[in-house]
Amino acid sequence: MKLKRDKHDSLGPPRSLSSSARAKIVGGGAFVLLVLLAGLFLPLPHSAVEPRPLETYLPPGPTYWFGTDSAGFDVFSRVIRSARTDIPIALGGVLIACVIGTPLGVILSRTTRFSEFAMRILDVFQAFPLLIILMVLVAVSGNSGDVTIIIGAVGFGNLPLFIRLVRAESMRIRTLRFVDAAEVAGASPLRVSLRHVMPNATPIALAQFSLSAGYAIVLLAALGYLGIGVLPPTPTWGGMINTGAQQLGNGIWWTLAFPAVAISLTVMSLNLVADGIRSWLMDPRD
Amino acid sequence: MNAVSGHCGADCQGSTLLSVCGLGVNYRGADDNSTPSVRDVCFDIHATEIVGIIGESGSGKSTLARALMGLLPKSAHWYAESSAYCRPDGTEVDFIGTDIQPSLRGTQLGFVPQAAAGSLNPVMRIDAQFRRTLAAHSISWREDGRSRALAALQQAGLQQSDVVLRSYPHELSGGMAQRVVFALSSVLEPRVLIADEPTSALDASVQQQMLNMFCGQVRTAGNGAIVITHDIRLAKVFCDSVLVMKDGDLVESGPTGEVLGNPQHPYTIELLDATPAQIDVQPPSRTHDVGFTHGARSSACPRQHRRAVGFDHVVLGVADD
Amino acid sequence: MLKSSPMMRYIVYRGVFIAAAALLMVSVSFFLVNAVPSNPAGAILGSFATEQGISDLNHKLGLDKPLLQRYFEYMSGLAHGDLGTSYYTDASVLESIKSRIVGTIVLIVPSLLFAWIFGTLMGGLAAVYRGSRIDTVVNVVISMLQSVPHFVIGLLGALLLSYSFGLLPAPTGQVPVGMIPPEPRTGAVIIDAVLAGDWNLVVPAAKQLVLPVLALGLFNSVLFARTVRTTLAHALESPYTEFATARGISSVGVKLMALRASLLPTVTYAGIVFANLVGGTAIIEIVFSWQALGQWGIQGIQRSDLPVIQGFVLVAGALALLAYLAADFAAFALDPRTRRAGASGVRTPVVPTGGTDEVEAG
Repeated sequence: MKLKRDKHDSLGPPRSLSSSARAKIVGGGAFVLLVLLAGLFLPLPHSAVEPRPLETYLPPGPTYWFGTDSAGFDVFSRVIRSARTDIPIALGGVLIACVIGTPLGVILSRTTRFSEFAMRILDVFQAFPLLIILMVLVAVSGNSGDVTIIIGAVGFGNLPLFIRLVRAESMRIRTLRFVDAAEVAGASPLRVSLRHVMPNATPIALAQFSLSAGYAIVLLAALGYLGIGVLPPTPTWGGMINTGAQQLGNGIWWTLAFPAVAISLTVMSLNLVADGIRSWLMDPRD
Repeated sequence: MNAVSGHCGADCQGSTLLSVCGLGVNYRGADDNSTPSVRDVCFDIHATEIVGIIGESGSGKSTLARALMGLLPKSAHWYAESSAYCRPDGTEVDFIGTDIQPSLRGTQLGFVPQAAAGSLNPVMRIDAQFRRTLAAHSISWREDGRSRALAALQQAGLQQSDVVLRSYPHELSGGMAQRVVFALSSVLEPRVLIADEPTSALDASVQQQMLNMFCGQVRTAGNGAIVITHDIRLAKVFCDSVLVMKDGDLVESGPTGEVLGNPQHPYTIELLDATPAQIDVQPPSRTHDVGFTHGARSSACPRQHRRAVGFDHVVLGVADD
Repeated sequence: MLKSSPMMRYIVYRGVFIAAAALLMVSVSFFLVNAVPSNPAGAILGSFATEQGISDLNHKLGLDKPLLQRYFEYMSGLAHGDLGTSYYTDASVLESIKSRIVGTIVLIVPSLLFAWIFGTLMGGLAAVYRGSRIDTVVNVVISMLQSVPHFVIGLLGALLLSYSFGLLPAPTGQVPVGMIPPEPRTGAVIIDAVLAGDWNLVVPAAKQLVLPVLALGLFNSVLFARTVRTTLAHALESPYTEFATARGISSVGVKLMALRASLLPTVTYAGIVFANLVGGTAIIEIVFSWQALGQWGIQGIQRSDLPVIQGFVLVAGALALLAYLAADFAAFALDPRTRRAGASGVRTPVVPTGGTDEVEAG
């Protein structure tokens, strides 16, 4: 399961950000932050959790900007409020994987027999499709809507990837001359790892963090669609897509479209940030 | 056609193979300004002639070679005041920067790149690479393509040519790869073979054979060759005429004996001074080995002393750059 | 003395790994499901659960035994081919898997092929037309495909292509509306139709496949597109491309040769995408009412049917692991650089020069 890296990926000390890379990172990051803050703090025009049974299936209009759904909820309010659950879970979970996985990856990058063995074991863990791991962990542990379990599951599921990625990058960094120089100068292996290797492996972990967070949102949407994880009436984008899908045949599109767009824009922003970080690191080619 | 101040005419007289006048190359930089990397080069090449282009790194030699082939990237703009490629049937065609130029590649203009190992597609067998090359010029592999490939490899010094054909590039050593690259270019028997630093990656004895091989191809078949090199001693032994490049300008050109024996331009003088004159690259221990000693004449491919018609010893000014 | 070739060494090493991995995989799937604090009995009994009812059910299902004991019982059952029975239907888990797995494979394989081809096309376009508007368009498309969840693509596709324009059938599952399913031999309607010679059924059954395969394929094409975009761009700028152009090979020919040199990484990624698809089909099967392994597994997950969940996790993991291994092996075997150097017979110096033409050992 070795991912062959492009031979042209040269890495030195991070160059100064090109303007397009900076735009990507800032733009993407700002959007996600905006959505998250809106989800947390934006005062909503209508309640997101109190149904209004008399006002179901209203198309988008001046009162209900995104229309209403099957229970009379204002779609706009629910879309915004969903950000409060979906985004922190994704970011938090992947952050755990990143924070734990990066040092582990650096440590395991010294080619000892133990590290080879550990990687093989990790291979097996990584083989399980992430979606299935998430579903099983969350559902089996009771599906009580407890957010910490979901975050833990996301972290656990992403951990092997971060370990493997950082390890591969660290192994490459170790072949660079400045690491040699440090070792020759007598630095202990621990110091070499912490002071020299890890700082240079961190950028790629950050890029992956953003990428995985985006993927996590996609998977969380799938979980929400299946009713696993966060429970009603708390809105989630996935859950909204579920209810929205049921009315497709009747031409009611807004209940499906708006949460779908929200997910897509958020994930795209996260991918943009990852792209920006990567072009900051790699040979300027584009 | 002599260029003294940039006004010239390129044409096909006598045994001329190609002729260019006022050849220049500009690169469009990131800031959209054009940086010239070659300026106002004029020369021609005749049948059985080996022209050497010498200069330091960055003098524009490789760019010049690629401009002749039309192999420059899109960000480059190459042009000539006039150019003429002389076809075997006697017709002339203006080729620099025109649509005709790509069609000359292969059978009319051949190119031998510098780094052999990187120039072979790593996932294709050698015979497949020959096959593609020949097929691009409508030479059927089955009919005579394969035998031509075998012959080209043999002539390049690879006697186990059928074995080489079945190999992948990574299975060949550096010297073998260079020969394969040479064979791939010469199998089409181009009239002008342009070689970019053909020997810089090889060690001495292999260099010798490579050049002899070159020489044989050119002189016997009546074709011409242009050799780009930073090694003056090589030029001295093998090239009939030389062009001296500095920072994109052609500072001096003419028959080798004159330019290198009696240099006029200060830069040429500098270059020659910097060249160790009496050091043998390899002591001649085999009958066909020759070291690059100053003024050696015992090469298997002696340079011709000729004053080609119209090609005088030209010095483009002696002003400081 | 027979020297082991790189190929042999690879096979042996991988063989040992597979055996150990299989063992580990089964254990992991067991603990994944059982070591998490859970209350399946409570979930099964639902709102009628009482303390007594729960502990009775726990005892009946054997859930009150210590974890390790259950582990060993499970492992020994596995050795005999017994994967347990569903809490709800009493159907053997193994049988359920066997009758459904082909239905899922029928989704995964075409999706993989579509993703591969479409992704390579996209990446190829972006690389060849680098810097132009085509490149930008392709990049935007790739970005969007990666951001819209596959099941959403499926739903939107159903909305547009089925409900609005009627081009494709509604997401009703494997069996086309109003048609009689063939005799279930493999569990995949389209294959069973072919096997039964029921030709009227084959084309409609194939049409049922289009939307789910499109959804999965489009979403998963991004990995291929990015890889090809990078490797092909690199290949197009390489010395061997320049040399091929210099020899007079047509611009199309040159690009195809460059593509050949850049396809190898996609083989490795095919393994990864296959594994992703195993997870992806699960939810697509729900969206499209596709009765196969994923739907069965998710149903089990939703109602805490532990043996089903375990079986599902095990199969999913096994399929993914096999995919990784197969892709790795294929990448190794197809790479000319891992051929035994000298396999073509090039051994001796071909010109007497004093040793500069030795073949690289290897």
